[in-house]
Amino acid sequence: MSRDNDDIAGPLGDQLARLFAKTVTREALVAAEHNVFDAALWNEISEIGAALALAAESVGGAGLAWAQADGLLQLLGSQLPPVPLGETMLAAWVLGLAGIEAPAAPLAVAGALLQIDGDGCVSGDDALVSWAPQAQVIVAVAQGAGARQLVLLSTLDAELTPQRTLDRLPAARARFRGARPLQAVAAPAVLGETGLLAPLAVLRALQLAGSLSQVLALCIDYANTRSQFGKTIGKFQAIQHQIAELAELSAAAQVAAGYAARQLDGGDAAAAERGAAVAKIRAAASATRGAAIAHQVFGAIGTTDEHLLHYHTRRLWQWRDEAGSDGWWAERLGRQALAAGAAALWTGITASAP
Amino acid sequence: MSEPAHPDRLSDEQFRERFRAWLAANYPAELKQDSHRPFRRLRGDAAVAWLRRVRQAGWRAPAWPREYGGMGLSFRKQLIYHEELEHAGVARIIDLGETQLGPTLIQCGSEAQKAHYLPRILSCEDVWCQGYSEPGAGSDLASLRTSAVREGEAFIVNGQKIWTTHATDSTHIFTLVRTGKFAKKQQGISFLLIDLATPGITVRPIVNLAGEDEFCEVFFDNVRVPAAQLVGELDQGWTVAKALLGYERIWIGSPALAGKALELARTLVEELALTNDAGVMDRLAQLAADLHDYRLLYAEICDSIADGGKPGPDVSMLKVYASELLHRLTEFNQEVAAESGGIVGDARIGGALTDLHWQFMMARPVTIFAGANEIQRDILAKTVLGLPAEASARN
Repeated sequence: MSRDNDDIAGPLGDQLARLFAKTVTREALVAAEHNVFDAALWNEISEIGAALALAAESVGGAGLAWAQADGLLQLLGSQLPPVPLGETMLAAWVLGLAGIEAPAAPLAVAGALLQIDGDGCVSGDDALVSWAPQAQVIVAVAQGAGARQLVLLSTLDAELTPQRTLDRLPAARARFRGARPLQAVAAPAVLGETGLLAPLAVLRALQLAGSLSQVLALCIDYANTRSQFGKTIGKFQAIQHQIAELAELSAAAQVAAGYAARQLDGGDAAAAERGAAVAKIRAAASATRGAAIAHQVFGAIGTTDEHLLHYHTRRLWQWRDEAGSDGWWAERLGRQALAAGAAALWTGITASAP
Repeated sequence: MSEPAHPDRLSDEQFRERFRAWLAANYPAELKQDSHRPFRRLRGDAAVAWLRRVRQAGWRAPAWPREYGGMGLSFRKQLIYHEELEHAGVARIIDLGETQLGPTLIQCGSEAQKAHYLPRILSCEDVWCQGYSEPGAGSDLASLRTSAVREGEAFIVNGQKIWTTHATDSTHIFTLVRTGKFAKKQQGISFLLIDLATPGITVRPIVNLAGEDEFCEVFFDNVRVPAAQLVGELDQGWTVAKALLGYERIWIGSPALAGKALELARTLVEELALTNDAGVMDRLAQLAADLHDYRLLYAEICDSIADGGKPGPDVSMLKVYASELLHRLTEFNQEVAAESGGIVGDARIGGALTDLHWQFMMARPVTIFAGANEIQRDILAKTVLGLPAEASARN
């Protein structure tokens, strides 16, 4: 995680941006929503080495820090490549921390904490695992009698119930009943009692921030193009105010998601969870209001299937609800703040940002 | 015992009881709005079948005068009528023939138009849709360009309408078309009735972001419309259409949908055992209080009309408040459902089966259609509050 890695993150991000601009067409988005896996896109991503960008160099990755990959991860929200790149990067990162090389395949991540028994068999449910129907392996954390274990589970050992979701991408409820993991190791220290939910929430926050910045750009473009009452609608203050608010919401989501990325890099489980909570609460609130503003700016045309806006707004609504809703994280963050006491509040806010 | 005969002789409460009893005995239980589908609506054949049953029993067209086959109810009894539909969980029906065209014809139509069309609306022989918006004329409706050129005893219509609700279920369309060019663009618009079976008309459904085809595009290519289909004076269609806009905003502003959404919110909070969650309860209480306030506002405005007033520009408040409250309620329901909020189709939440996605999507366009909320706020600022119009704005 040296500073030199900034030199890798930049070109890698540029390469991905060019790849997505070329390949993530309307047809590609539609195909993905009809359960067709974009193997060609995935192969190109793998060749660039993006899937292992966050994995340690010792396990064959690029060793980027989350903070260094911030912009790259936001591309997943702004350009919407319909493959589980974010999930795979997260899985490869956490496996790398545990000294394991990630399988060379698209990976799914279960945010729910599972249980592991004395015989090393895993049980538990996750209400919604994105990409599970198309992945061969799900990475999860399971609580044992003693320590938490990081486990790789075959989707063949899971009872998957496919779910139709707002983003229309593959997802399933996953149920494990005494599944024997493909691999199990002690969970890295950065994973606290919420297991993989915290990094998954950070990933969703980064995606939300990326999508909001793109939605903002689309709104500005449309407001400067669409004409009513003899002038472009961007000349009306009612529209200007809404777009200005969207810009604030987008910026706030970016700052919060970036903060959470740095907390993950710090390696402390409590700080990482606090960062995840802050980022998910902020990004989800921005998504709720931001999607409403975008649809208001676009008016009727933005509600049509033909228009591209809904590929963003449906994901904003989807990611907002995944990996812990804002209400869920807010309650947890609030309880922790109360438990820490009044004296800790100000120092906690001011001292924790590296 | 529940025929509506001579509703004038019934007190408001007697009328309410009669209608409630009739709905309880006649509305099919399987078509009711419930926690599964709180915004359920009927369209197509199902809607026609129910409306015919309503007509047979004498409960059709509450606002129409009795001489035209309606019930001739006072405004207050009309309100009761709508409240009882809500109370019984009767699905919403978009019947623009009854709610918009009929009253327009009664006010501005020729004797021949009234005699021909009104009975056919009541019997559902004709089903009407509204052709106002165009690709370049949405909020700025007066900029519409679909043209009607007089040629002998007919108008030749060319152009395109968009966002036409349920055009595929309809037999006829009432349109605003351009018949003349004047300095003021509201002039030179005419109100024209068109049979959708006329050669040269193409209807194309528009699939929306929820995968439904509620809206359509309607294309007119040299469509020949008999001149007798003009309603009111030539070039005065704006005035004809505007006459009923106030009433449209009152019915659009009904608190019924928000009421159904709040009922579901309560169910969800209980089913998810969130009643001890102060944050959730705080928001639920706020929503409940806002709906309560809104019902009072709605009743106040309706009462002033019942007492002989006409809907004024302040009815724009209703549309703004009701639509934004519905946004907030459907957002709340989706958020408390956590991961289930991202599910499309039926989801079991605790002991309740509901379709949150459909409700959420149905609530999205309400702040946009029938005059976007920005337009309504402009009206409130200029007309109700008397604030000066922006110097550069035209109107």
